[in-house]
Amino acid sequence: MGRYIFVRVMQGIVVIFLISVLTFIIMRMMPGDPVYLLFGEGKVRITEEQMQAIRARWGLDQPYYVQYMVWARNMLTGDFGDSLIRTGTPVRQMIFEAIPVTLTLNLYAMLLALSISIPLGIWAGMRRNSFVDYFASIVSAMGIATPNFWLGLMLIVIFSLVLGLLPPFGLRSWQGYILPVIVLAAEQMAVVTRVMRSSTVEVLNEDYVRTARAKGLTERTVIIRHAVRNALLPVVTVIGFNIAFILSGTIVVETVFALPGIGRLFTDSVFRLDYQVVQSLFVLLAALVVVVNLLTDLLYALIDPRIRFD
Amino acid sequence: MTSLTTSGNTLPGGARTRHRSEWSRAWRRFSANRIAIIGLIVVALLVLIAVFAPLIAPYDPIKDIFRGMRGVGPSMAHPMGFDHLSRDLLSRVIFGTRVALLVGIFSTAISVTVGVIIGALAGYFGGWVDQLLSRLTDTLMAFPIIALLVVLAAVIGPSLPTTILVIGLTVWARYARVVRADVMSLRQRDFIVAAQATGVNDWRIIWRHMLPNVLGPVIVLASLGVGSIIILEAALSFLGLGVRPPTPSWGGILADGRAFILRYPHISIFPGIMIVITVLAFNFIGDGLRDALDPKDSK
Repeated sequence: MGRYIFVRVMQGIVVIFLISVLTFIIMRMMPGDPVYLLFGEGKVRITEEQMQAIRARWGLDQPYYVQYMVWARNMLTGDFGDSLIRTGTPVRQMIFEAIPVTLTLNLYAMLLALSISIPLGIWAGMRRNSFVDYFASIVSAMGIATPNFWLGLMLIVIFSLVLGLLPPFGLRSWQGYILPVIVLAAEQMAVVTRVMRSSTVEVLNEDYVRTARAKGLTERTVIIRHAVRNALLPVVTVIGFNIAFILSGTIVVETVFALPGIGRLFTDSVFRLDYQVVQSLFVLLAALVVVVNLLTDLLYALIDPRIRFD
Repeated sequence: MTSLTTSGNTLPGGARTRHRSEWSRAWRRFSANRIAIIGLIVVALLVLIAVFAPLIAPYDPIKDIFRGMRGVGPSMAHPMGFDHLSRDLLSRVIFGTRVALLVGIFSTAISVTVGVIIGALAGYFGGWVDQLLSRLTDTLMAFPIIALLVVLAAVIGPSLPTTILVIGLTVWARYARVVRADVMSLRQRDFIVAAQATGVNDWRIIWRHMLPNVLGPVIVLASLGVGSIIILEAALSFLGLGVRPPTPSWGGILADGRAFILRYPHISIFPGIMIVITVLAFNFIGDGLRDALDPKDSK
């Protein structure tokens, strides 16, 4: 186990290193010279010498590997630099301001998704080929085929335009969270229902479930004590390994509903060519995925005693 | 892919008949699956719509501008209404099929090719090659795909070829993982060891003996992947970094729809329905193929 953790952590570190190199390369390929952009794309007249001086001060005259080392060191110490567009605002502050929105959104979406999809998946798995089972598979097939941004637009049409119940955009009140939470939950629900159903079907065929039934336990006890607890394991993995997918969903949904979260900050910064913000978020999001995937692996080994890594 | 099946068919003797009957049995199982056949028919119709778009569309999706009809809703003559620039939406949605299918099919082809090559190399050679390629795969998997697409599209400059290339080059990781695992387990098998012992070179072993055996799962994954790629393309165009206006694409029309959602809500409705239908059709085919090619795993 100790060796397994060590190998996985080392692999994670290698991946984060590769992520940073890839990010650095992509950012250097981005169109537009940051110094040129800083001075209003040529609107502010500066001499060639001043230009050179600024480049030297920012280290842009150094060879690429030196630039990378400086940049990587800053990133590791949490110094993400200042925004190029909102001049003077530290990128770290902008990210900290956006995190609560994204976190709230995803937390409620996950709660909503799990509280519907887990019972639905179990129910469908218990009664295969019943009405519930067909209903669950239609819902999850539709959920997987429906783009989240379109679902968002349709909810805006129904609940904001036609019924006038909820605000279409923004976060002026807590009600602004309702529609985006539903959209994000729908996506997760589709996936989790499917996984929960098939793992319930699988678990119900296991010997220990037959033994539990043979002992004369009530069906209720068999399902809750023996089946569900084991059937939940794959759900943990699916959620953990889907973190990259969840973050992708957030980026699009926050843009649809104009919510000031991480996703919106990211797309806005790409359009404004705010390299400092883009590269910081890029590295942070990818590193987050690596860490969550690693934790999922380890958590899985902890909660399932049948798994021991050698 | 066709070349792979053909090369499999030319195997001498008994292998040939067995091989062919395996595929024909799979086809029989597939064609008995009503939902999969519906998926196939819908995709065939979509292909026809895309190919014959200029004949089917009542108007030109870009040039025909109806003065005074800005944002007017559906009517008999214009079943989907007009967009914010007074263009016929039905024609735009019909032409949008082209972008969706082009990106769906070509990006899938690119990602399957890259994924299979990387997975086969990692699984066959093992050691440092495997370490390097596997970490590369992990790295790609670590980026939230939309974030990666958005940045790459911004770097290269958004266009149809960029979209195809960028999506194709970022979603191959799943294929690589599946192929790597299968190739690794195949490596222990007697027929591979025998081939190695008789001095068949590595490339030939991978191409002739291993790839035909990992084709099944790859085909299933690829057919399920087309749908998610079509959604990715739509998302990218929706964010303004995919296919550029005025070229009609479903995601692009939805972006217009969002901008005018409170005034002209009908713009957003139809392209979304088209995306759902298309993605469902491809997923039905994928599910059908999975059940047909891997009967022991069928539900």
